[in-house]
Amino acid sequence: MGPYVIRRLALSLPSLILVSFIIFSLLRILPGDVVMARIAESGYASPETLQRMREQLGLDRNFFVQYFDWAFHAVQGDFGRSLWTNDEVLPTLLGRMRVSAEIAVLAVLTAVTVAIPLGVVSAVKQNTRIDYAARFFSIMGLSVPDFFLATMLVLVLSKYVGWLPEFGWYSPLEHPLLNLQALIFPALIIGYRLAAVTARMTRSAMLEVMREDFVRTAHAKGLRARDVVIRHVLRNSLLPVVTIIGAQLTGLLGGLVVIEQIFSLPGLGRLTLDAVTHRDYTQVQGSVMVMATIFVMSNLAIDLTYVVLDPRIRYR
Amino acid sequence: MATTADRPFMLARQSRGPLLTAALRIVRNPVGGVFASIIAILVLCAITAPWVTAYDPIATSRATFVPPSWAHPFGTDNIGRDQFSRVIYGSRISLYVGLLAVSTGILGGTMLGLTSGFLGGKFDLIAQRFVDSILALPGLVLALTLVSVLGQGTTQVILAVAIVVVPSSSRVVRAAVLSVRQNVYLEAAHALGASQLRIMFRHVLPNVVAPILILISASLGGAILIEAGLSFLGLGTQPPTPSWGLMLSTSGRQYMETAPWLAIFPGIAISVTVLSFNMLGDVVRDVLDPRLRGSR
Repeated sequence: MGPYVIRRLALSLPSLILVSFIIFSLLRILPGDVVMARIAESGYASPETLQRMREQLGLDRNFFVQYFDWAFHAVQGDFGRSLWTNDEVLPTLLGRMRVSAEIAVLAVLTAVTVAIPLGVVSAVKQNTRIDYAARFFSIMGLSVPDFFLATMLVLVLSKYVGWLPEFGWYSPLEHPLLNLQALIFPALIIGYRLAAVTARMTRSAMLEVMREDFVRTAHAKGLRARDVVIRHVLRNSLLPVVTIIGAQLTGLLGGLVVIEQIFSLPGLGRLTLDAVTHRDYTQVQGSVMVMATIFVMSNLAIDLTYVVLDPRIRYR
Repeated sequence: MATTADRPFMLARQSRGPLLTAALRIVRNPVGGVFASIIAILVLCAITAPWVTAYDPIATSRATFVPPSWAHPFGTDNIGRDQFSRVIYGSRISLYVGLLAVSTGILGGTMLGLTSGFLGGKFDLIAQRFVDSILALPGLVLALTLVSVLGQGTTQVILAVAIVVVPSSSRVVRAAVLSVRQNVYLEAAHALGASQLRIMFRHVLPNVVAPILILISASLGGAILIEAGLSFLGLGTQPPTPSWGLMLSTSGRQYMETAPWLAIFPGIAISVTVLSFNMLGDVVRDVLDPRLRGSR
C-alpha cells in the first residue's frame, strides 16, 4: 500500500499547484487591493503613500515574481504574514482550524449516529409510513437553510426556555463544559444537514444491496433477518456512505462560514470571509491551500478505508 | 439488442416524444404533482407580484413592527415595509438567481463534459485537472472568493453560483458521455461520414439528456440556498431589494426577540421553495433513471 499512497500524493501535486495558481491570479484580478482597503479605514492618502505601502508589501513586483516568491516559501511551510493584521498566516490558520475541525467532528458524530440507523430502517421498511417519515426528515435537512434553523433555535431557546447557548469559543481543555455548550448547537445544526445526506445515501445503497443474490442466499440458509441486514446488507452498503461522509466533511471545513458567523465562533470559514473582504491576499491563499490539501488527503483517506470495509479491494 | 441496463439513461421512447412522456410521468406522480404545483404557484407569484401585493415592497411607512394581521399578513418591519410584499417580491430574486445560475452553470458543465468525454486524449486530461483543482475547494468558499472578485450584487451571485456548478456537472456529463461513446451507432455515423461536431451534438448529446435533466433539477435547490446564504452574509443581493436571505439577516435577526415574524416568514419561504425543488428533483431522477426505478 505504501507505493500506492506515494503515487497518489505525487499525482495530487499538479492539482494543488494549479489551485494555488488559480487563486493567486483570481485575487489579483480584484479591483482594489489591501492597500486601498487599509486606507479606506484611515481616510485619505496621497498616491505616493499608496505606492510606498505597495512597495513595502512587495505588491509592486511583477505577477510571476510575486507568485514564485510566494510558492518558494509556501513549499517550505512559510505562508508569509497577513497583509491586514501582520500575523503569521499558518499559525493563525491552524488555530482557527481547531474550532472548525471540532464542529465538523461533532457534526459527523451526530450525523452518523442518527443517519445510519435511519437509513437502515427506511430501507428495510421501504414504502411504509416509517420510510416516508424518515425520507421527509432527510429532505427537510437538505432544504431548511442552516442560518434559519440557527435563528429559530436561538429564538425558541431564549424566548420560551429562557436560556441562551454560549456564544464564542472556549478551549476544550480548559473549559470543557463551556466549550461543549458553545459548540453543541452549531454541531447539531450542521449535523442535521449531514445526517440528511448520509441517511439518503444509506437508504439507497441498502436497497441496491438488498437485491443481490448473496442476500437471498443468506436468508435461504436460515440466518435471522437482523443478522442479514446488519452483517450482509449494511456492511456492503457502507462504501458509498463513507465516501459521502468524507466528501461532506471536507466541504464543511470552509463551509461553516454562516454558522460560525451566527454563533461568533472564530473558525476557518470566518477567517476566510474576513480575509476576502480585506483583500488580504496572503491569508486567503493560505486558507485555500490548506483546504485544498485537506481535500486531497481526505480523498486518499476515504480510498484507504475502502480496504478495511471491502477485503476484495487491494491497492498496489 | 440493447437493454435498459446497457443504456442506463435512455428515455422511454413513445409516440409522444420522450421529453413530454417524462414530464407527464413526473406530474402524474403524486409527490411530483404536489411539488410541481407548489413551484408553479411560486413562479406565478413571482410573475404577478405587483398585482397580488397591496404595498410597494420598498416603500417605508410609519406603521413599524406591526404583527401579522389582515392588513399585513406577514407583519411589517423596522421601517414599516410590508413583509408580505417583500416575501412575494423576494421569490423573484430566488427563482431568477436559481434558474439562471443553474442553467448557465449546467450549460457550461455540459459543454465541458461533452467535449472532454468525447474528444478524450490531451484535452480531456488538461480539462479534468482544472476541474479537479476547482473541486478541491468547498463550494461556498469558491463562491465567496468569486463574489469578492466580481463585486456584490445579484448578477455577480448568478455568475459565482454558475461557476461553482460547472465542474461537478461536467463530471457527471463526461461520465455519461463515456458510457455512450462505446455504442456502435457512433461508429456507424462516423462511417457514414458525419463530422465530429455532428456526432457530438446529434448522436451523443441526445443520449445524455436524462442525466443533464436530473442535474438541473437536483441543483436548483442548492443554488437557491447559496444565493440565500451569500445574501445573508451581505455579499449577495443588496438592500433595499427584497431577498429572503437578506431579510433574515438584517431585520430578521436584529429584531428577533420583539418581532419574530420578520425572521419566520422569509425563512419559511426559503425552506418551502428549496424543499419543493428537492422533492421534484427526486421524482425527476426516479422517472428518468431506470436503474433506480422502484428502488427509491
